[in-house]
Amino acid sequence: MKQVEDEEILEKFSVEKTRNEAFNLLLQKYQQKIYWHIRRLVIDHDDTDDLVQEVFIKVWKNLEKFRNDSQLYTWIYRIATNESITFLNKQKQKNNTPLDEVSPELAENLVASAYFDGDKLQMKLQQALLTLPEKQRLVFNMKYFDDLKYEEISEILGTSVGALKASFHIAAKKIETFLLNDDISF
Amino acid sequence: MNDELEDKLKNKLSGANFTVPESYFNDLSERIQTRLSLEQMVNHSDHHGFKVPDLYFEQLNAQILSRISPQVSVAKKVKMVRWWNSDLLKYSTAACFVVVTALGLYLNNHPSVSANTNPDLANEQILFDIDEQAIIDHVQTEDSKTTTSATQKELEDYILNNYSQNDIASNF
Repeated sequence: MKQVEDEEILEKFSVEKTRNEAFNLLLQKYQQKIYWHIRRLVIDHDDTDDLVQEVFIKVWKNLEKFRNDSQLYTWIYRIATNESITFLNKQKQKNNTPLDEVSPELAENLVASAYFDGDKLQMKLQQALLTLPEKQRLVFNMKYFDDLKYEEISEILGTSVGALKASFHIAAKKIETFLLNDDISF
Repeated sequence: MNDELEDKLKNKLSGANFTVPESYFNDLSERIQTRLSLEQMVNHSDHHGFKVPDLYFEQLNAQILSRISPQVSVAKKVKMVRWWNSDLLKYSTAACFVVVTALGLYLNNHPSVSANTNPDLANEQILFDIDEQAIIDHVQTEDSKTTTSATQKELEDYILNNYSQNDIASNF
């Protein structure tokens, strides 16, 4: 299916008559990307489902105010990231976990989830990711899995490209060490 | 002079002045292999072990749209109504009118006791409150006083002044 350009979506959204059609196109284009971005951060499917819906409702409410000073998809990613971080912070406050660490509840959810059927290596990779501080995990996910450029991640997180590169490098090293110290055979 | 400069540059570019962590090269190949495996895993696996319920994405679209649709329809239905044109005001005004009219009619047909200033009724109420024996005693005392107060001369004058001689002759 041909992907609709963001400009076309925005143009249609600005006209009352084609607003619903534009939003439908936006959903088709971004719902899966946003779902997987959130899912990798919050792990549990049901939590992700709630957050995805909240994100797109916010997008609907605020798209009219969206200015073209940033790209549409980085704007949506920013909303999704903020919603996810807010959710994770609430979870940490509930468990008395420091805000820069990852909540132990996520690792428990990963093991107990009915919607995770990865092999031993995939499970190990996710467990390695859950040992990272929150910011490094976020940067690693966006760079490695979402395949975003440093400049795009910088726009989404409001962090300098240099700091992001350092975060990613440290995160990759930690994961590497975690996997090497385990008895998994590649 | 030029040869000396050239040697210095060669030394610098060969990395003679750079250092690496201790035993860096010992496990470099293993680390490269790990990184490569990781890369392959990321590239060849769709969602790295995560999955969603069947038809989830097909329904997600509709689910989000259904949460947005009520807001759209509510926004369209909102109608500005001035408060003095509202039905509530009309009905409450009519109700007040009916209540006031009914109250007026009722008071007109059923005057209250307090509004009545008839002196006979007021005297009757006072007499009702006084002990019966006290009234009898009072009347008897007043009678006896009246009887004894008129003299014989006064009675004769009263009769002569008010009655004719014929009346007196026929009655006495």
